[in-house]
Amino acid sequence: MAGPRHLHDPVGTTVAALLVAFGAVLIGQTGEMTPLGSVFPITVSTAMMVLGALLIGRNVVIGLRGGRGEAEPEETARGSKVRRIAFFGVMMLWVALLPILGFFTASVLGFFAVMATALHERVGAREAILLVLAGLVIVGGFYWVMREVLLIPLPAGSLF
Amino acid sequence: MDKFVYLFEALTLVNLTLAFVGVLLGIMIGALPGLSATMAVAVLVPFTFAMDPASGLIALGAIYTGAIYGGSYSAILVNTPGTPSAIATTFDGFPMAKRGDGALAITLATLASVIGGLVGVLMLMFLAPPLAGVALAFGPPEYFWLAVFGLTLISALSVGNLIKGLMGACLGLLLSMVGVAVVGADVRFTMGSQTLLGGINIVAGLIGLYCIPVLIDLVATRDPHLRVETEAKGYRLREAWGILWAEKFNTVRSSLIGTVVGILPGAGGSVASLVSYSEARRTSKRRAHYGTGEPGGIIATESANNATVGGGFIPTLVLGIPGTPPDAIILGALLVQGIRTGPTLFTEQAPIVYTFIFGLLIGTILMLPIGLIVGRYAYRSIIAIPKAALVPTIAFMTVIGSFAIHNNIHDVAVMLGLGGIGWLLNRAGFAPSPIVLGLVLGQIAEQGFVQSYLIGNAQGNIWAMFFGRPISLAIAGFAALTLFYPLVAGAIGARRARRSQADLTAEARDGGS
Amino acid sequence: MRSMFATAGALALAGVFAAGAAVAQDDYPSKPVNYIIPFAAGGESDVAARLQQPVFEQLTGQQLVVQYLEGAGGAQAWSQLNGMTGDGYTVMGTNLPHIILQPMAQDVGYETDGLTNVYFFQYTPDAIVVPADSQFQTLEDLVTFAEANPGMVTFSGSGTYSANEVAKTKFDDLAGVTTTYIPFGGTTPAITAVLGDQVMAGFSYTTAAITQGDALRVLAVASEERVPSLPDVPTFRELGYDMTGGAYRGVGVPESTPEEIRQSLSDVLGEVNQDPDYVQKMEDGGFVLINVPYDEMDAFMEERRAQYQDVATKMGIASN
Repeated sequence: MAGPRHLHDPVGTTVAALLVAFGAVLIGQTGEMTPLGSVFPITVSTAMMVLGALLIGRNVVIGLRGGRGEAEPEETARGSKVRRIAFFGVMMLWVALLPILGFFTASVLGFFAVMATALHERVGAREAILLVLAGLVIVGGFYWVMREVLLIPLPAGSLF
Repeated sequence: MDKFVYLFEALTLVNLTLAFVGVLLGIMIGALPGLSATMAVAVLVPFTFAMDPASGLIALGAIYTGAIYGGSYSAILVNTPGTPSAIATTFDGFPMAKRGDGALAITLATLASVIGGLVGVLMLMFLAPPLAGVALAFGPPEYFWLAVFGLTLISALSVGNLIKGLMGACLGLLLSMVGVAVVGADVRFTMGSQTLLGGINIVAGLIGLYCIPVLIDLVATRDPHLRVETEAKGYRLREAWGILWAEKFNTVRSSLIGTVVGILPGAGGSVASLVSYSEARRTSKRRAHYGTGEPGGIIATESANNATVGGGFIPTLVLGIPGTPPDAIILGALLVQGIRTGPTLFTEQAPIVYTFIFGLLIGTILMLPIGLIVGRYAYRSIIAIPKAALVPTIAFMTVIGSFAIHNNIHDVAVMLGLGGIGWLLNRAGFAPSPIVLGLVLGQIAEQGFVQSYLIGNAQGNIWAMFFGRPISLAIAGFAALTLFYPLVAGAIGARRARRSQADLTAEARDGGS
Repeated sequence: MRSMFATAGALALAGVFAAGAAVAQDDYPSKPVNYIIPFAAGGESDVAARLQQPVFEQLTGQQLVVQYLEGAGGAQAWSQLNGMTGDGYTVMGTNLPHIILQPMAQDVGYETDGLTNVYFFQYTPDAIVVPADSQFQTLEDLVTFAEANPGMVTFSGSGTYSANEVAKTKFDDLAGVTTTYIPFGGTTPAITAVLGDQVMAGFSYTTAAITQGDALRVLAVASEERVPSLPDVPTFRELGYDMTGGAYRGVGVPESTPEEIRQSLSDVLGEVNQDPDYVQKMEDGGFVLINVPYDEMDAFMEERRAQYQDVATKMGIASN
């Protein structure tokens, strides 16, 4: 794949560079801490930076030698990027709406929105009804158990 | 043995029913990530006030042991440990389920949990007072080395890219430092947010780092979540027994490790299962297969974490020092019932204590049939449910689970944030497990280190604190062994090969002359 | 201070009779009350809450649901208290000196005055404990050793800026010695360290000393008078150190909680504090019951704050 003078493992190298920068930021924050509170953060951040530098160096050397690019893990490379992003976006929205709409409403909406991102085939009317019913039963059932049996105070929204 | 009188006290219909219901409830609560054993026990304590002390204790013990076992379901089927004790169960459990051996994995987890649980309870019954001393023998330096030992497992987990594994561990350790430090009370890395003062919750981290990436990859393709086995059907009980028999040393060793680590008030089920996994892997001939769906890995972690239940009760009952968080709640319940724990408990309150221990024993045995049936049902449901229903259900669980930790939306946000970061890192080749290990062990390591330093400084000898104590040295030795064993074993093997070669040539020469 | 407690007790007692009717009137509580403990299970706060739980249910017919929101030495929970629903069904344990010292030391997301305490119901006097086989038979032994070896005596305790560290700082000052404080993640690990000879002594509470029985020796307790369940242990005052104090535990509510509900809750908690069986169990456990109802809260907090101001300066966390 990667010919000579191509960067080996570009994603990994970028992340390593980010983590090195992150480590530097964290060490910068230890200035106000007591000596005992800062010894571990400084040691671990330094270790992370050194390891990151090692990884970058190694990848550059392999790249210069024209080594083979590391194949991405199969699982994460395949499939629809759009769905992945949609799923994560829906989850973020779900969490953001919890305090606004209340636990039940937000969860019902979130549940079906996530379902939409995971739906790959066309579904017939019968199946669709079953899925909706199943969703309501699952969300409703757990909501009831959490609220009434385990007595967990769930955020109430403007509707419920 | 006069103790066995109490077996019949434990065998009343009420107690049996309580043990049965307790185990069943515990399994279900434990299987849901975020709903932990601690929470299950805390919720049910008020109900036990109305019962007589022994029955109440039996119910609480049954829920506790069931919850620790139930954590293996989600670890195996969804790659998300239901409780922190089941972290290491994901390493081999989920790969097994993915390739179609989910039923076998669950049956193995059930058998191993029951055996581990029994070993723990039997140690509690017969050896509690002498073993309680272990809890006191472990000071800050020992906890520091124990955490280091746990971290050496990273070298094994990050096959392929050790540097990335170690960087992940550093990141996890840094995550564990977020919040107000126990020693020194520095506010660290909260980015000005008050919601991070209490730190990043381990369970929120677990759910995020393990479960969210699985879901993100699930929605992307049409493929079913788990491959469905075609030939082998049913519980695969016979096959599981065969594997367990072949791994009998592993099972016993892990159960013993689990009991002893359970006794340590600062460690708990997650450390116990990580340590026994590490040892199982180091001593196994099939070392290379660990992490890719090796049954021995499940056996090691599941027998160890259920052994911590009995082990944890040892310091709780003998010293009044709770071994694990659920033990702490049970200790509180005992106080309300008017029972004082401590050295005199086993003599003065013998009826209650032994009835309870037998009750725990019965609960553990009941876990076998209940676990097999519930486990099978759970596995079938996961396979049968279409993806369009499975993904939102698991997503809902991640929200509920992380919310229930502290009844708090902040933990849900932390869970999701870490999940997204975890998925990106995983894409770049940074696996989640080293990060989780760092997160789980960071606090233990740091507190142990700083406390040891302070004590050593006061006594004017810091080096003796870290390297002058026998238990510390032994644990440090095991850590070094785990880290360098592949190299050492390789070197020994090579030398042996050379020597036998030399012997042969010498023989040939001698024979020739 | 003693007389203040006595008056507080008398007032609460009087309040109880009046309150019986009041509670029935405004029918609070009419559903389960969530009682958030800002610490992990198994500590003194939890044990006391668990003892209150059945009495509360008996008196009101409603469950008191104990939940844990641990983290940051309690600050995690307290910084969120005012964001919770103020209907009287979410209440939270509050602890002194924590809620005074933490905001003094740094920004922890809440201010002492921002918390609404409705009742302080008990305190656990500070106590110095040593292992049963320790070389220190009396407090004098310990002080003599500490004078000869500055910094060498190690005291375990629960956390930084906690009641234990306050007590240790005060003691160093009064005895004119230098000792080393080793913070642990709670009273239980701190006591475990003492039992296991990891440290020479521990600053803890009467409660822990009683739980451990013969395994520990208590050198002195920081109460006004000897504690009933530890009759042979001298107080610091008897030994010539003017030191009383400990960790006080109370109950707070979100600031949006209406006045009537604050008062009702204070009345119910006052009633709980009179239950004979509860009193017996608390005293057996080493707790000292106090009664600071809602209407006396401001005076009580003012008095405590003045006390801690001084020691906070010595600990280096307050400027004046």
